[in-house]
Amino acid sequence: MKNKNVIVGLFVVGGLALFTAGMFVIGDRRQAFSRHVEYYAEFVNLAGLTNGAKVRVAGMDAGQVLAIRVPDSPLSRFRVTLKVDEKLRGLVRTDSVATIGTEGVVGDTFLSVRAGSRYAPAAAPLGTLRSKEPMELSDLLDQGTGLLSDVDGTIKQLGGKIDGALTGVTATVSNVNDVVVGLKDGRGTAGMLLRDQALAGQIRQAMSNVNDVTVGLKDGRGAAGMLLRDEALARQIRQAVTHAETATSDLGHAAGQADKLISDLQKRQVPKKLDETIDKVKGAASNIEEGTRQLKQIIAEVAMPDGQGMSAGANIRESLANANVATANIAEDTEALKHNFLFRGFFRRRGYFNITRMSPEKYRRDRVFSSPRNYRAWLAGSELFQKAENGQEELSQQGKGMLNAALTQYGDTAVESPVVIEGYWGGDNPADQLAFSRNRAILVREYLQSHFQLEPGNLGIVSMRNLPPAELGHSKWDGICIVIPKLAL
Amino acid sequence: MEPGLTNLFEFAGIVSRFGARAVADLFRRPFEGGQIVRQIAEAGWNSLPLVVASGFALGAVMTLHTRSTLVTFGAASLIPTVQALAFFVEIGPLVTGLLVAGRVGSGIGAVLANMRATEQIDGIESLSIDSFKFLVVPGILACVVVLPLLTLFMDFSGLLGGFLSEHAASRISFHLYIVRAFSDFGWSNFIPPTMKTAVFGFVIGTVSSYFGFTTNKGAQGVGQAATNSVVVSSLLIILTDVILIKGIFFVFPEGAL
Amino acid sequence: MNDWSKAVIFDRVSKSFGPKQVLRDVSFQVVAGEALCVLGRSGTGKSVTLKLIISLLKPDQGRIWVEQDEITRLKPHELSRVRRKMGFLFQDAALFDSLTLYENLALPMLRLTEKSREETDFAVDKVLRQVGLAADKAKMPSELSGGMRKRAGLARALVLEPRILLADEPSSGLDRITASEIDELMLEQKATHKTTLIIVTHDVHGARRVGDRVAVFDGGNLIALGTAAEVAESENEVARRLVSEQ
Ligand SMILES: Nc1ncnc2c1ncn2[C@@H]1O[C@H](COP(=O)(O)OP(=O)(O)OP(=O)(O)O)[C@@H](O)[C@H]1O
Ligand SMILES: [Mg+2]
Repeated sequence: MKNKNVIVGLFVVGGLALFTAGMFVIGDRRQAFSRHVEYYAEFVNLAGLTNGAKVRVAGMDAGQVLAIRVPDSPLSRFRVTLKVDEKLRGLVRTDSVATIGTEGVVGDTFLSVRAGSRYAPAAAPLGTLRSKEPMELSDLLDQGTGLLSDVDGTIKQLGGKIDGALTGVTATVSNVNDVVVGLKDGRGTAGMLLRDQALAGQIRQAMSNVNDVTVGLKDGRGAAGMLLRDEALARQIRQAVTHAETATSDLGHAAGQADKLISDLQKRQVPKKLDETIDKVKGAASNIEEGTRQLKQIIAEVAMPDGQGMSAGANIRESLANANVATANIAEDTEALKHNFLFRGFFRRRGYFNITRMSPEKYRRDRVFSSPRNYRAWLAGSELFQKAENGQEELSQQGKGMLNAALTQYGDTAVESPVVIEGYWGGDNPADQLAFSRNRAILVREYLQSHFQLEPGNLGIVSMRNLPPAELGHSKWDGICIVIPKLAL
Repeated sequence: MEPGLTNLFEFAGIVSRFGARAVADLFRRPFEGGQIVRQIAEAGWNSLPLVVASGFALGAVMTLHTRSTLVTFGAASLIPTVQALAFFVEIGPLVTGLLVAGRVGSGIGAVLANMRATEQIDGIESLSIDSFKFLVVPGILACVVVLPLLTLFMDFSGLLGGFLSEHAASRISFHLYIVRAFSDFGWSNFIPPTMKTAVFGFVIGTVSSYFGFTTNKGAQGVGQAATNSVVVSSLLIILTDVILIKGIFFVFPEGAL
Repeated sequence: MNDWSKAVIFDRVSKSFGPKQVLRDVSFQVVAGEALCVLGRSGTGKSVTLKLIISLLKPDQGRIWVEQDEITRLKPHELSRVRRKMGFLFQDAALFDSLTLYENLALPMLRLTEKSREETDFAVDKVLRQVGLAADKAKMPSELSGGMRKRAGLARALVLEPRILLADEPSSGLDRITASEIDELMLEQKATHKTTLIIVTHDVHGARRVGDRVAVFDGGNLIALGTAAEVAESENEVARRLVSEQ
């Protein structure tokens, strides 16, 4: 009997020990037995984040999502309660940004909190952290291509002005384009490239360069928006251009400017998805050169008969052929996009840039639209419009002529760049001001669109009542102002 | 109603009452401590080699299989996670349940049937000992206690088997294997699946005791009781598992895979 | 009917298993302290009668008293009180084969009495010596011969010193010497403890020696009840032949 008791004791104690071991291992993963600080973060889109999902602070497992409060209307956002291990609390600052990420392509969704800067105060427990909306993978790919096209367009414009000083950069970017497009379109390419152990490393390196460019440019609201909206940036670019003009073939110098430019971009909030790649970047300019060199090297290696073995060579050759085809395609796309990229930035993008939803007050204060450097044609209402038989206003014959003249004055620019039509109404009644100024802008847009066959997306209207933006020489206006925002070059 | 269907419901009713009586008797004095210890030793300790060996082999084999699949997708680092999740959530509990149904269930069925055939149960009754409390309740209780413990042994030996086979293939360190194995673990992947086997234990104990205790066919009934115990309790384990899994998902929605 | 002087009363008891009627309207009384030997051909319901007395079986009809309790009306939990007055030797001994001989005997003592370990040991040793198994107490039942098992079963029936001993063929399968030792042991119990003996047997010598009265069953009926001499004179041919010593 005693013997039996010992056996049972052993068995039960052994089992309980395993149970405890399990509890501790899992508890450790869940940080159940350490002290925690709780924060909040809010999101419009949860991207699949669930209760109990991991929380990482600066890439380290730090806790889990405790609760998610569902918003009761589209106006509010999901409120996520997260707990963070006490030890990592020092990294969570008022400027830390919470994003939702995915582990790999098939992995779990987790909440990532970026370490804040050391000058920002530590975030208060139970405070709400800043957050950045998650990026879905498909969006990312789309944006990657779109942005590369933006970049391409921008750089081509730059390139024109600095007499080819940046051809190296452009070449890299188009190489980049090839690879990314290859990856995106011909799924096979990536697979094939990466299968080969020997080349995979080099190509990954090149890819990270690609990413650098992508990341740098996709930062924030998109390259075009950035370039146009940011005075400091615009100044830097202008400066780069001047420098390039004086030292026409000094690629190094231009690259130095680009470096500054991109590191400046880096300092701003970059989407979390691309953080890891951007971290690897030291100087974008040197990487671009390096990338070009490496791509050339790879191509050279592939071209060599016995470079890295038969199969690798064959694969790569095929990949490159794919890439070539893809490049041809993207060249077209890029061209199309280049004409369109501004409307992407201004009119189609939801939220901030959608000027149809922008209040006149905001529009007046907007640095892009109120910039004195924009082309503006002030057309008086009394000359443009006449009363129709039904009492409504319509464009007069004379007015149409004025509009034609105003638009052709800028040549082709008007065709490929966004055009904003500001409507004004001189009367005193605020309701009339709103209704009639808007009506005028709509009349003009319809005319311009049909007469010049302009892209609808390139035409924005805004009803300004009777107040133009400040410091443009008109304190009041009654009529129309056609604005072609000047690129920040 | 079909006679077969009526019989089925009658059987379900009788076995349920049998189980309910066991639960009620468990809390009545006198408590059969000695019998319980004896049964736990028999059902638990004696099943340990079987469970540990099966777990180990199963863990190793499963890793080999998942490995070839996951490597194709470039997800080799998921092997420990997949292996541990599969084991702790479903394979461990279910396989332990079936193994114990085979080993302990048939044992209980045969022993009780033999005692019935040789009048030992009457003998116990004639001594004013409640044979149900003395023989059936400890057996069921032992199964309930022993199954979660055996499941833990199964889970961890499976983990060890998985580790060794993965270590042989990729030289992964033990620590990394454990970290990865539990990286996606929630409480709901560990505690409810382990605890649900107590229900399996109750099913095995009740069904086997029922067949053994109620047979009256002499020696021939012994084999029959053993067979019925294994077949019916295995079947019921799988059925209860389905219900329990649904129940667990209902209570812990994040446990759903 | 509530007669203190009677140990067991059967009143018009019938028992069937399915279509087979085993006992038909059986009535008899066993006086406290007497020894009744039950004879009958194989399969006539002798063992069933004993099991009815200790309530392992329930009669279909009729009533059964054990001392002052009508056991046919007792609830299951009240039965154990009555059962404790009785010791039962099964035809096949029915020892628990998972326990040693000693544990088999100690089990009822430890569970049903307040006796200490030492007292239990003492009592078990004593009764084992009486049946001649003192040396075998550590053996498992499977290690005992058939006759040893029967003696062990008797020891278990006696260990609690019951007021009524129900023995199903205590001496079958035993040699003559051992059989008569067993008979002596039961007579000694009867003499010293005033134990009522109800013994099913095929051993006519033993029955005549031990039994104050003899009951004969046949075809589900109690065909004769009386002293051995009375039964030997009985009109019933089967009864006469069963009791005759030749
Ligand atoms: N549990 C049972 N189920 C069905 N039938 C039974 C049961 N117990 C006894 N019987 C039947 O009752 C009848 C009487 O059986 P019992 O054991 O009393 O015979 P017996 O007089 O003791 O015979 P023997 O001298 O051979 O031991 C038998 O025909 C037997 O088949
Ligand atoms: Mg018999």
